[in-house]
Amino acid sequence: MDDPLPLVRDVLDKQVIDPDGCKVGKVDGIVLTLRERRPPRVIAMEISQAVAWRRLHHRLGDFADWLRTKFEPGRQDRAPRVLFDHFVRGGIDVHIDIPWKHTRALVWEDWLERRVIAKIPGGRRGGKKD
Amino acid sequence: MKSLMNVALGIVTSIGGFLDVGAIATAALAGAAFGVQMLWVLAVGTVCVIFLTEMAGRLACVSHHSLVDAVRERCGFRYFSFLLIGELFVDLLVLAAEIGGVAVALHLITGIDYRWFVPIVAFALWLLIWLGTFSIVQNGASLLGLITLAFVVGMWWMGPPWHEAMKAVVPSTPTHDAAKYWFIAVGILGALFEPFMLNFYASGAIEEKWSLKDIPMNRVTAVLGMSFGAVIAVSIVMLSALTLGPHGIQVDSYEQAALMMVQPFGSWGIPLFAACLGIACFGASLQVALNLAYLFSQGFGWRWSENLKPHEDARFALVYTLAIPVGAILVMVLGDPLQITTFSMALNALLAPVIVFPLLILMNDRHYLREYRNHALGNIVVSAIVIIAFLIAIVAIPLEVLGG
Repeated sequence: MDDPLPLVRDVLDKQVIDPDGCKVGKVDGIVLTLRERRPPRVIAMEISQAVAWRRLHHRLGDFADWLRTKFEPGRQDRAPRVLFDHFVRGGIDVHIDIPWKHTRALVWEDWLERRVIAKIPGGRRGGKKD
Repeated sequence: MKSLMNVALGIVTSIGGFLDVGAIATAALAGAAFGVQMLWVLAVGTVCVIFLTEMAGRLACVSHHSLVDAVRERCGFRYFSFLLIGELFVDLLVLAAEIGGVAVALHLITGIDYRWFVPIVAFALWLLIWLGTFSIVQNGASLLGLITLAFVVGMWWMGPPWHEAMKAVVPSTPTHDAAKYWFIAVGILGALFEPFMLNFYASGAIEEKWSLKDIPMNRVTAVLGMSFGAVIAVSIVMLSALTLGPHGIQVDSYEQAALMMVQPFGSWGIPLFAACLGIACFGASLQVALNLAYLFSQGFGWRWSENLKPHEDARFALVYTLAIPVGAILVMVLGDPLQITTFSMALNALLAPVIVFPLLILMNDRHYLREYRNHALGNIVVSAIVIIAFLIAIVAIPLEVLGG
């Protein structure tokens, strides 16, 4: 039998890192399914500020979710999720085995990059190293 | 070479952490009103800040996580949200005060109303962060910050009362104006415990890719950097005690504080004071603006690095791009930068336990620090800091409100 994984200690709120070492986001929520006479099963990790704010108060979550569905580029009904099948290991960071491009967690980053930051002089070049 | 760079990080942090508008003003005020009697407050504060800085750096070396990053992960989103809201509010006020400090320095040199300089300073600040790398920001501010050694030269020139100063390192109670004495003491400590400084230092260590082998250098950096800041702050107290106190000059504006440099440097005194104030505040404003971007990016798990091109960490770049104009607008709307500083220092003191308490938890967490956890001495000192900071928070605000 596998060692038990302390979800709150080793998964929730931890930094999600993809196979290339890119930061994808924090684990803002964990999706479980309840099963009759069996322990709940972990389905996915949610990466969405709406989910995080809902943990503070449901109204804050509702408001953040309304903003997300209204304004998020390529509007989606559901907050971005990474299936738990892609979980590699937890600890002080959570490592996953799919690249960030497949997660939808960085839609805002992409939108801001293309529509705002790249249009400011120096946004693409700058004097910075790669 | 890297070691020298690390020490530079400590020095630039000390310029921001020690020598901002608040520290310069409170040190000048202390010297003018009570001579060298309050040097013990600086001594206690410096020891505390050295411990805190070393811990923030060690956390980064071992776990490769900054303070904000680790607080979100270890204490959860609920706790982080309090920190986020509190630090956002306080950092914006401090940013406003620092931008105002640079603008006032330009006013001292040119005589033109400081408000005209606020947008120019804000734009220069943004441009440097937008185009520069962390090394440019760090080394530029460190090198220019060495001009603040003028305070040390000035103190030396005036012939400091060493015997009295040594005696003043031992805590003492005032013989007159007790309320004012303790208010200034609270102000000095409030200016030292600026929460943004700790996260900036830890984030800088990650930007510079510090690792386990940098732990000894982190210790040296924390001690040397903070001591550098302390020496300058002590020099301001002594210089103020020697030049302003005997003439009964009370420091309630920068123009009055600037007079401390006239006696040792003559006609160069005011421009030299302005240069020191402007550079120290510009260094601090770089730190605060970057720290706001670190705060959001690390708390929400976004990409972040001052070394990346802005389009590579768009949300990070957006935060400082929005924060800097907000800071500039606050200076224009709220007015006197000195008053903004005084208010934000009290709020700093209120916020200090919110960041110091989780730091203590993290420094004893074997998942983050492994065998590099705190020793008893570190825990005792940090616990004492939490209590001092809490007392500061309780005492500072009523004193500030009642004292007008």
